[in-house]
Amino acid sequence: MFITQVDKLTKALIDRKIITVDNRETVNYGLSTGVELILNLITTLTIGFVLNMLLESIVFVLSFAYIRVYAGGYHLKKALNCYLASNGIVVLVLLTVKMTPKEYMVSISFILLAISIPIILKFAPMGTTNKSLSNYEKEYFQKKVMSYMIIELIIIFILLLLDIGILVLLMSLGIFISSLLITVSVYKQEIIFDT
Amino acid sequence: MKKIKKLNLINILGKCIVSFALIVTTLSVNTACVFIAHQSKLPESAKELQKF
Repeated sequence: MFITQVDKLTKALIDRKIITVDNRETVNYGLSTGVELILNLITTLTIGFVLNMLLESIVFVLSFAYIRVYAGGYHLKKALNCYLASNGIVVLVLLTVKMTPKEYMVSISFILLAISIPIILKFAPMGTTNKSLSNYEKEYFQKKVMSYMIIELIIIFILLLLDIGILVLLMSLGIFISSLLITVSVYKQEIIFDT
Repeated sequence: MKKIKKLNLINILGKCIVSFALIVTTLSVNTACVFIAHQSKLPESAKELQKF
């Protein structure tokens, strides 16, 4: 999204001899991705604050990110579209949680988990056109996804015992959205087999 | 003296920016995808940062 500005900044860093020309691409990548990440997180927290659901937005993003970083899945081609879609999903999730009657939260969560867990176990991790995964990476990320999924399910179980249905639903939605993006990726045949 | 202090400050700020960029790239190299941001093409040079 900020390619020109990031390019100028990297050039200035090279001129000041803070980085070498060899590191240019790595720093460029880190800066542009980092700025987008921060912008996305700030927007997500703002949405949560505006909807008076700040804690809920944090719980959703954490539970989603926890699986998504190792499971991978669909990414939009343009940064702006990715930004709009990510925050659109956050709005949708928060509004869904807000409008769901408390007595249905746990049963809806079970349905979401019953749909998403098999998808994640079968297809994760998924590479994209911009980041393909080698067989070794796939094996490594698969183990990570499994362990992270077990951790999330244990947390969900504890929240169930504590009768905090809203957090159970948010975490289930985080896992469900991850599985949904994997499904889109499978559908779009975005799998790139490296090696 | 003031000019030297200003240059030092710029250099420190520059190093902070580079550290931030390297942390983000390292995280990106060691995960399957950037969870909530656009996944741009990972440069070949970044693969040196892979930890596994």
